[in-house]
Amino acid sequence: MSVTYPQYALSFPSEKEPAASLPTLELCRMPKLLLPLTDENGQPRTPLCELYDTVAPGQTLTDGARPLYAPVTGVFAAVQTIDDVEYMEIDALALAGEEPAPANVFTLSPDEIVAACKAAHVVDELDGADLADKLAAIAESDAALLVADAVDDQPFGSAGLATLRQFGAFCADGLMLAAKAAGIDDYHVLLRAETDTYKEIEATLPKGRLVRDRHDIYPHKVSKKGKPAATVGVQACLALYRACAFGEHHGFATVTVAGNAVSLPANVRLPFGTPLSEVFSLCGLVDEPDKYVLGDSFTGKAVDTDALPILPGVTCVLALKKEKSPAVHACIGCGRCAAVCHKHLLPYEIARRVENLQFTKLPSLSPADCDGCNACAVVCPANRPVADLVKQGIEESGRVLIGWGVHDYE
Amino acid sequence: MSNLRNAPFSQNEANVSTLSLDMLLALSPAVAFGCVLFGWRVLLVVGISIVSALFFELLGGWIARRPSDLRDGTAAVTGLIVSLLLPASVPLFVPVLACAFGIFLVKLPFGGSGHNLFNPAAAGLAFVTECFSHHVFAYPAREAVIPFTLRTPEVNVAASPAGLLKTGGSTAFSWYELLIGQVTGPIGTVAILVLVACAVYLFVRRGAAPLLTVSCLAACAVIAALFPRSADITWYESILFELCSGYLVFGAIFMLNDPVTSPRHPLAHVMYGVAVGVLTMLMRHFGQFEEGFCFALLLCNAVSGVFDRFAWQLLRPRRQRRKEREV
Ligand code: SF4
Ligand code: SF4
Repeated sequence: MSVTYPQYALSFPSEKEPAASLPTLELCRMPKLLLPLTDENGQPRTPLCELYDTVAPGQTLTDGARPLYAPVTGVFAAVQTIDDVEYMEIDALALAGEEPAPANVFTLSPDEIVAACKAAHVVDELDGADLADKLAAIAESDAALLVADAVDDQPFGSAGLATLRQFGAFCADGLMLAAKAAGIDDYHVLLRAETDTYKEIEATLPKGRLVRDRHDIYPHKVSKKGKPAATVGVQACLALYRACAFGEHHGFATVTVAGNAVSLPANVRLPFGTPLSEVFSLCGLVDEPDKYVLGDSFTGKAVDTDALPILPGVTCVLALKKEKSPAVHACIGCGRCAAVCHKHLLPYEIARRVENLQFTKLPSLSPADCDGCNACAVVCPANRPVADLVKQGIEESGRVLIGWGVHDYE
Repeated sequence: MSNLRNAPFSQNEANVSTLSLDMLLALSPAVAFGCVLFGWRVLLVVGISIVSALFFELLGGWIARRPSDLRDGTAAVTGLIVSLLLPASVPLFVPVLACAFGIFLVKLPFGGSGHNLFNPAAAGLAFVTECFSHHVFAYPAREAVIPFTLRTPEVNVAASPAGLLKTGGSTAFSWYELLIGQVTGPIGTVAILVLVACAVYLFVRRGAAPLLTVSCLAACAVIAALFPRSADITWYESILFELCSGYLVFGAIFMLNDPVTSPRHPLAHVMYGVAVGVLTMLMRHFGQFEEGFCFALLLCNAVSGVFDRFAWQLLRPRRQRRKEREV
């Protein structure tokens, strides 16, 4: 197994401490959870339960193409609107009581694993995709290796490490199940950590399952002897294990709470739907934050309200102080963006064509290969939004502009 | 949502200002060494040149009603490079005119830093070389003491190694004199070893691409070995004299590496470097002046985008070609 990097790779100072070395906090005061009534594609969802109904974990709450499931036991309390988006609010109740004995997961057949995964609606935290679909796609592909990715290669996040530290053995079992379901017999957990932490975690995992990524470079790609490798998140592996062993619905995530406005950065285990305000009041704010970021600092999405919930696919949230935005210059043509692009694109060239409205030149530059890693925008010394322009290039690709004097300039 | 900035929220610490600062830092040993070799008038030439470059940048911005940001440092780098390519006894209007031409006519009309097609320092120098070659190539003799004066000092001039090669004679300097700068020549370009140390600094800081510099110098070395300009020198002496004369090494390190006007792709770097090297040697052999680097650089500036495109087409991942065939 080998980990590969762009030719002239992006290495960035880590901001993971102190969250990475602290034990994971449990968000046990059960808060109000917020679940969006619009799905990722903007399609509406209608609640299926009545107001004040009690819902059980995993219960289907709405209809729609991608329905909502209750992460925990709770009472459907209200529908509230935040910034034009509607949310379903439930008063969550903590699940008390003993954990039942786990079922024997080692005798499950691939079909049973996939069925359990489907029933539990496990979502991969790496890309927000449905794990059952993803495993089916991996089984179809020619991947020779399955990797549970706990690398956390962006500056702040350490949720993968925290998950492994807390539930290492379960994650390994979950990876074994995932590999079985995808029909791959080579599988490893990939971790980036200091020697001590690495040793500590290695001791809790089955022998030889943990591989250490020794470089501090973004983004990383995994392959095996030139063949592609498939990756799944460690948290998804954990959820898969719990789905198979306890029939438990995927309702919890480990999320890194950090940023320069947070007083005690930490990893927090919380149910999906927890509003940002809850995690920030748990970790404390030193300053009035200017913005919140859902995701890590390279690829996250900035929001200006802490009323939004944490949903599957998010493993890091930040609260950032107000800072002077850096001066944006013209492209100086240093070529760094092209050098860090792991898709071998020419981001500066695509950006130039987009800015000059030469959309017909775009298809030959294949902007559609961009996966939005944002490495090009991070390295750009002129602080240009290169990645955003590439994204725009995907939409504008091949468009022909015909203007006869009048344009809608509104 | 609101007008929040998009990701990323972390930025590499290198930005346009630090890149220019690196360039200025890497050039400062050349200024210091120039002072040691030629006296304090060097500071005057350098100072006037930088100040006039900054002034023309501001003036251009004011005329075009476009805010000019001197903090990006590109104007200062242009001024410094121009001054280091002139003799220490040069009349002070020469660097001023060179900066005026480079910044006012070559850089700003194309849209200022980042948009210029031609390297402003090379263009400015090419301009004064054409107009005032008797000043630009009038290098003070080594024994001459250059007074610290605003007026043009009266000093004995002597031929530089490049001039000697041009007239077909072998150079009168030994190899170590050439390397440590005990020769007549421009202010900042004679101390080859100092320049090489600066280059290493720039390479480490990723402010310059080694492929550009090395490929250019290698191309020159090959041509020098094959076609010595003087009958009574061996091939390795020819390489040494050609590389260490004029401002070839200086240019290959500091002017070739101007990121705006050079290509971006590593393979294009090699092609561009070789093209500049070959053209420089052609100009030295058949041109009018003893040094042709600026002209070679300007010619290649015009087509640097072509090198880039070509290199990318050539090395385009096979994955992509396959995809195109499927469509
Ligand atoms: S965001 Fe796209 S263009 Fe930029 S480095 Fe990543 S893959 Fe390449
Ligand atoms: S990194 Fe920025 S300045 Fe450099 S070539 Fe790319 S877009 Fe231009």
